[in-house]
Formats: sequence, structure tokens, C-alpha cells
Amino acid sequence: MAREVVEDGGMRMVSTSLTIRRTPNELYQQWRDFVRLPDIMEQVISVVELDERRSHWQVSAPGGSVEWDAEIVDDVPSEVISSHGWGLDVEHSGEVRFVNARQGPGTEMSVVLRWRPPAGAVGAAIAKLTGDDPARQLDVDLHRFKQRMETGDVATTRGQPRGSAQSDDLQDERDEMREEAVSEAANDTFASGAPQETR
Amino acid sequence: MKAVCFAGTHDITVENVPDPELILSTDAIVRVSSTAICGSDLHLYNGYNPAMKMGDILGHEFMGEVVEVGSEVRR
Repeated sequence: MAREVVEDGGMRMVSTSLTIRRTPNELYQQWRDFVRLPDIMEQVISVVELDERRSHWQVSAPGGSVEWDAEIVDDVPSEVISSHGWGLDVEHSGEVRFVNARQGPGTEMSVVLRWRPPAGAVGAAIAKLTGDDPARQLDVDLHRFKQRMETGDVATTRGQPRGSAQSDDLQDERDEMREEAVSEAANDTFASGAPQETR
Repeated sequence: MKAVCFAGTHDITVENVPDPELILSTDAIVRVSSTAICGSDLHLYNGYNPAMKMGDILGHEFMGEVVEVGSEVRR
């Protein structure tokens, strides 16, 4: 599971790794296609590529969204993608690395995110955005990525019954799921296919 | 239907919840006849699963009868 630490100088860092039964190149290709990341990362609303190295990110926040530009620092196919971002006075960076698993088929994918929590009102907005548990959010997102890559789909109980402790409206969720299924069928944006051995 | 629901760490309730519905063409609805408690249920009960949400229904080690399937489900 991901863990979060506060580094010297006040930078916060979350890091995690997991094994995915796909080749480093398959994972790299899918992740590098940033515009499709909103399918994977719950908080990301949209990513627009500005040019080969720069992209514009819109991420949900309480009462709206925040936006920033990110620039690729290091991009080695099948190995690593790292980037840093700015906007909203937020200093942050991310690195995703793909390495052949030492045992068995698959890839060890590791992710490191670093950011400096800013002061003031913007800082408060960012704190809300990252939630009280960014490590948890990262784990949930990466397990979704793993499922997509290994099976071509994500198992979910969204739209299905749950207890009264969850207040989201069930009928709204069912309607949304059905609409999304129709639009996805019309425009399949994600790599899919039967699970396969990667070596 | 009746369901065993997660209401927080070490907090489990039995409630009446809405029945499931077919939503995706690959869905299947299973009428559960019995379900066991699994070791991983203890992780959920103890609050160690980060993806666990309030209200989630427990009991993934179940047996039952398939009563309804989506259009893309084949034997």
C-alpha cells in the first residue's frame, strides 16, 4: 500500500508500487496517453495535450475544479515518465517507472508524487483537493489501472445496492452508469482485450 | 433484499437494501443461498482496505443461483 511522508523542507511525498501482468511497454504506452488518464484517476476531470511535452490538467475540487500545466521532464519509452507542474503556486512533480518483474510475467510499476502544500487560501483549496488521504487515493487509482490493463475492464459495484450509510442516490448512479456504457460502446477509448501472458 | 453492510471499522449492520439490477451487458444477478466469512473479510472489518466505502455489502464467498444475465453473458 502507498505511504505518505513529509520530507525535509516540507515537501510531502506519496509513493507506491504494484505488479501488473502486462509488459513495461504496454503500460508505458497506456499511461503516456495522458488524455485517457481521467478514466483511471478518479479526481482528474480532463487532460489536454498542449504539445509533445506540455499538458493542461483539470482536477475536481470541492465546489469546482483546479487547473494547472504540467511539463514532461523525462520520457523514456517502456521505462519512465516524469513531469513537474505549476499553476496555483503549487510546486509538484510525479514519476512513474516500469521495470520487468523479477519473478514471473509482468511489470513492477512504481509511482512517486511530491508536492509542497502552499500557504493561505490556495493552500486550503489544495489540501481539500488532495483529501485527507492521498495515499489511499493513489492505491485506489492504481488498482483500477491494473484491472483495466489485465482484464480490459474494471469490476465495480457502482450502481448496485449498498447500505444506508452511503448517501449517494442509487438511481442517479444507475442512470449515469447506463449513459456511460452507451457512450463507451460508441467510442471505446481504452485499450482492451483478453488477459494474456506477457512473456 | 437483506444485506450485511459495512458501517465503519468494527461496525456491521444488517439492513434491507434495494435489489440489484442489470446495468452493464456483462452483468449477472445471483440469488445468494449462503455465504461464508473469508479471511479477507477480517481486513475489511478491521478497516484495512482503502477502497472500502461506508455501506458496502460484505460476503464475497457466496453460493447461489444465477437468476438474470446481461445480453453479452455466455455460458
